[in-house]
Amino acid sequence: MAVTELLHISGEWHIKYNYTAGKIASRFLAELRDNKRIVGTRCDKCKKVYVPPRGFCEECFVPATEWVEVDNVGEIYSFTFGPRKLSAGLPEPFIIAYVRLNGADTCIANFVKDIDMSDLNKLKEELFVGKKVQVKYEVKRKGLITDFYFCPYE
Amino acid sequence: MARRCAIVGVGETKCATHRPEVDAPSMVTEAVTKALSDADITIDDIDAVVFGQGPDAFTGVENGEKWCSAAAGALHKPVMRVHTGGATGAGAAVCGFMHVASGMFETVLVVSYERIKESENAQYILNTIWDPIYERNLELNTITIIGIFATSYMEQYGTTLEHLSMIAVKNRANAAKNPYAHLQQPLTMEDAMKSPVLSWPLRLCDCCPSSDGACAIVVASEDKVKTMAGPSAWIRGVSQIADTVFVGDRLQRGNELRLMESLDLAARRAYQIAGIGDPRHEIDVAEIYNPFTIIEIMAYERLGFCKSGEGGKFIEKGIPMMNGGLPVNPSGGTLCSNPISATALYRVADAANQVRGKAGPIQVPDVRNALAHGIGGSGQFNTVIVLGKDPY
Repeated sequence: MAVTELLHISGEWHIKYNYTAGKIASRFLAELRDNKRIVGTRCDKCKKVYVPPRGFCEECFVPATEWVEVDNVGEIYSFTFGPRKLSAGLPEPFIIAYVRLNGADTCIANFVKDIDMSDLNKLKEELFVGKKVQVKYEVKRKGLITDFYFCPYE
Repeated sequence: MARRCAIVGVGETKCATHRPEVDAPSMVTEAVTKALSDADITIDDIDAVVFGQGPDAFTGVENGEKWCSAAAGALHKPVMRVHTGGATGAGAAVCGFMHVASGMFETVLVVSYERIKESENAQYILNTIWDPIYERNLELNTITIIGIFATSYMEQYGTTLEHLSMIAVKNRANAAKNPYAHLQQPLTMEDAMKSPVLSWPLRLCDCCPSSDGACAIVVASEDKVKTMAGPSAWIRGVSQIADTVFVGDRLQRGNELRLMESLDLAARRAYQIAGIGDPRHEIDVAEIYNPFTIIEIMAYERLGFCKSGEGGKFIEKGIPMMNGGLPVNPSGGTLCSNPISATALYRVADAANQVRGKAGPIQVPDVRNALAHGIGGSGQFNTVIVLGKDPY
């Protein structure tokens, strides 16, 4: 008896998580939420300031214990943008940039907003590597990375 | 260096959007059977199996090697799984090599499979490789993060969309002749330049497809190779290097090397072991893992085929074309076939076949040394393998 039909079986993973931020990231996120400021940690040995902060310097493999507040102004090191959604959560259109805030030795990523994306030719004047940007805090903050975003420096 | 080993057999399944007629274990058996036949050995000759398996979420079956290891002939044999994201297949090949080079095993099978379309949204799954604390909510995925790589690189060196298009056109032309490739229609420069932007500067033509595919290779010791009649590809040098997960640490103005430094380190180490002093002239063909066109341009530089910043010029001069002097990706590369867990193993298999003279319609003439490369986790993991007609 020949079977010519090829079947498929539906399935889904529903998995909820309660991710542990740990004491370092918890401080960073709480500072965003409660004090509207961005903090990093400094390596005990090489003195690099990591934003976002970590407990350990990966290059020296020693603790990074000193907390440092960094500026709300910085520079775009790289970016990407899309005219339409790539996945369910992305805004449409979107701009994501890695920014080095003054005082930090590493770049932190976030969305860039308040830039007119309707004319892609004009966008090159508004969005470029080296562009000065500033941090803007959301009115309602939840202790998440999205409590802030970048916008052009005024 | 421990004892010499060679790749003596290769098996690939044709990459496709979907293979509805085979379940995952059957697709694995298909690749393994081909590799054994190519090596002219039986499953009883295999002493151990290394399974290269990346994120299980694509196929939706956790521990894919649990489901499929017996289908790979591993019943009552040692099995080990390797996972380094996109570099998985090459990492698994390195692991297989180390099993044999150590002297503990004579003949080892390395196998990988993938079915991206088993799930509905590959980028949704890829987003989960970002940590949930600092970056997951930014909806980063492989297209956006490599868009970020490309912007930084192109800003520093003046590389253009035309350069990226040339890479896409070259790979698609090569894949059209590769019976195992997924995308087999050539692409014109005109169509590439009209391709819609997904995540600037990456357009649809700059991005890989999602594929079903399985690949297997057989690695044998020098003693075992002496008993075999078929052609071998000697494993002359290997290296795999990990970088930091924080792309923000690797973006440094005026220091583009830092972004893909792990590839620079892996290439240097593999060349050192293999005794390659001038890769541009001593490597006859390269299979580079290029899920996005920009990765191939950056890899030309990090692999030492040209100087930093000259990747665009390299493709402009036509050197990586089939007749250009150092053909890159005669198979069409990852840009034309991407069964993620297996993809880097396909690169190793294709490079091995070039050395062995078994590449058929995509054979490059007179290959003495070939290079295979795997990259994973947004450039965090890079693996380089140098293969040769002669042992080191």
